[in-house]
Amino acid sequence: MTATAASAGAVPRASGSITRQNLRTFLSDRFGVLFTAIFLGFIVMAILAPWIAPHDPNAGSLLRRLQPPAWLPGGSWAYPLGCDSLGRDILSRIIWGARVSIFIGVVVVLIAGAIGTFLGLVAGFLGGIADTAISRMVDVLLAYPLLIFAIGLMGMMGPGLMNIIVALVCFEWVITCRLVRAQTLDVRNKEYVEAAQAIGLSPLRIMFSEILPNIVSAVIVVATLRVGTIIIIEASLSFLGIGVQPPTPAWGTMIADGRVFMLAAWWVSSFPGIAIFLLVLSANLAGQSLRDAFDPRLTR
Amino acid sequence: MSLRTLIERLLQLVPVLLGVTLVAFLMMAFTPGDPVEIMIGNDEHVTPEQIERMRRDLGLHLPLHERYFHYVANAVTGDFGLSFYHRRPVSEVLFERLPATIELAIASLLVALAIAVPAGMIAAVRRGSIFDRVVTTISVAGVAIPNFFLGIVLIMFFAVNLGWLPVSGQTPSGLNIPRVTGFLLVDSLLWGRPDAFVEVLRHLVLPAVTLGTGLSALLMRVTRTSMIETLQQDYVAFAVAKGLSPRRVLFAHALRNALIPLVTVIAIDLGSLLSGSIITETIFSWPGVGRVLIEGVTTRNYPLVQTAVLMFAVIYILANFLADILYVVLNPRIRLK
Repeated sequence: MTATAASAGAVPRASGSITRQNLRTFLSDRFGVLFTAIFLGFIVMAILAPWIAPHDPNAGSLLRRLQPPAWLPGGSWAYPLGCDSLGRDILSRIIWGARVSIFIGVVVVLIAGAIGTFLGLVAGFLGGIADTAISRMVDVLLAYPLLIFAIGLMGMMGPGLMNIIVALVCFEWVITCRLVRAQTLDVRNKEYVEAAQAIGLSPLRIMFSEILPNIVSAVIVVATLRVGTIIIIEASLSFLGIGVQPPTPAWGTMIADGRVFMLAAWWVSSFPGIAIFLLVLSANLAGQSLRDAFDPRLTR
Repeated sequence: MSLRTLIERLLQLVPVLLGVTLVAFLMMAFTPGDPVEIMIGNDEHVTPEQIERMRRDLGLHLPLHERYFHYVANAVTGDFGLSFYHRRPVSEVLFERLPATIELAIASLLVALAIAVPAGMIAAVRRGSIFDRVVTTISVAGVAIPNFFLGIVLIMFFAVNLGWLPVSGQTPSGLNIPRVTGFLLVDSLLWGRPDAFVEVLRHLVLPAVTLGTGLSALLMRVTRTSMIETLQQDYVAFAVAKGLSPRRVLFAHALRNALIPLVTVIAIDLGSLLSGSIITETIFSWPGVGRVLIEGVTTRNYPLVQTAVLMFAVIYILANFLADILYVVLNPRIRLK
């Protein structure tokens, strides 16, 4: 990865916009491409869930209660990963569960990213009272660990998919905002911004058509890296019973349900656990190789 | 660091602390539903007058900003209201549970450091070796394992299958250690009960390992990077040139300096340590603040949830403050400025 970062760094780049060279660097990192492919595979699986899931994720039968995976005695290929305590197909629930996890991960990062970008641009470019107000808000929210803040808000609002999204967005915008503000301060005094001011463009126009394109790659990279975190937080909330509510299949809830049967039927908890691990790992590694290719300055 | 800077730093904490209480206050203020009705539940014997009095007692008839003022004024004196469920002051319920959480947090941090520092150090010294690659891979993969899943797997192997360690709880049922400090490891020693100490320690192992391994992933990476940087410094080259043994160079010269960045990272990581403790406590039925917080959420015990969340935030802020100071104390280059 050092080699890829160095080759990207060797290209003279005036800005943080996305170039063809970035793309080439990204594609030359095979490891990164592999995990990006796995991550994209999860997304495709989530989108196609209604068509590729072999069974209805909520259709149970006590006859199939805790049926083992296909390769174990008592298993059948009709239910490849076995069944849970209500006789529901685990594979189908994992496929549908991917929808919930990825939907929440992506939607939260998108909404929070949009809010954070706007406020970060305002704080960084306009400065003054707007900057002070926004920055203080950021400081205060950053004093909360994300999961604890989310638990508190969920505790007040009650469980449910929409509430998870609201609770996580309430915190997550801070991450983008802090980044965008810093990057905006960085480019605010560049010649092209001064030129835009000199010809009398409105602040809003300067922010969105002059500054934003030049910092957008950093925003995208950090957003990708946050998807994994958000997915783990959602799974944790669902595991604790204050996130996605049954019967909607969510991986965290599946692990919690299978906990009591861990000894008799390890597969009920283990497969969703492995799914979370793979999804988060691929999201993180995809984000990291994007970062190395598109914004080596962010590499620590 | 001069006293002046210390006081300045302390004063900077005030607005953040105020902001944090404001967030906790607003969380509750915007909760749908009437707190009094939730408090009463299904009790039909409550008269409308009593309801009105409860509303007044809670200050619910006041405008929002006055309520916040009262909230902060009460909070400063340690009054965070009554826990609906326990019928006792929230602060009492939480402070009773705090030692268990701190004990778990410290043990987890020790586990994390015991894994991360040697592993990160060896990886740095043998940079590019197979061991280095294994460490790097683990540090990336470790972050992706949800600790509630890890906890369940550990329970299955070490508690249920092998039977080496207890499944859950902080003490075996029947073992009663009179409370002195609230830290059971300390209390059992104070009462001269080594048997109880061993039992408490056995109960602590699995939760601490669950929480600690997740944490060690990041610390491992930081130790490795920091060690690699330190080994390239002139004073290390000088120590080698002086003819000191590699062991002495590593431990006496490089390690101490390489560990300085770890202080900051630990403080930042304390956020995931606190978050993780909530989940770990729930899995292992550990009687700490995290578990009572989740119980509070499921029973809609709002004052308890609000205060527990605030408590975690304040711990996080103070830990970061301490890390700032410790960093300066440990790093003479900053001290001189």
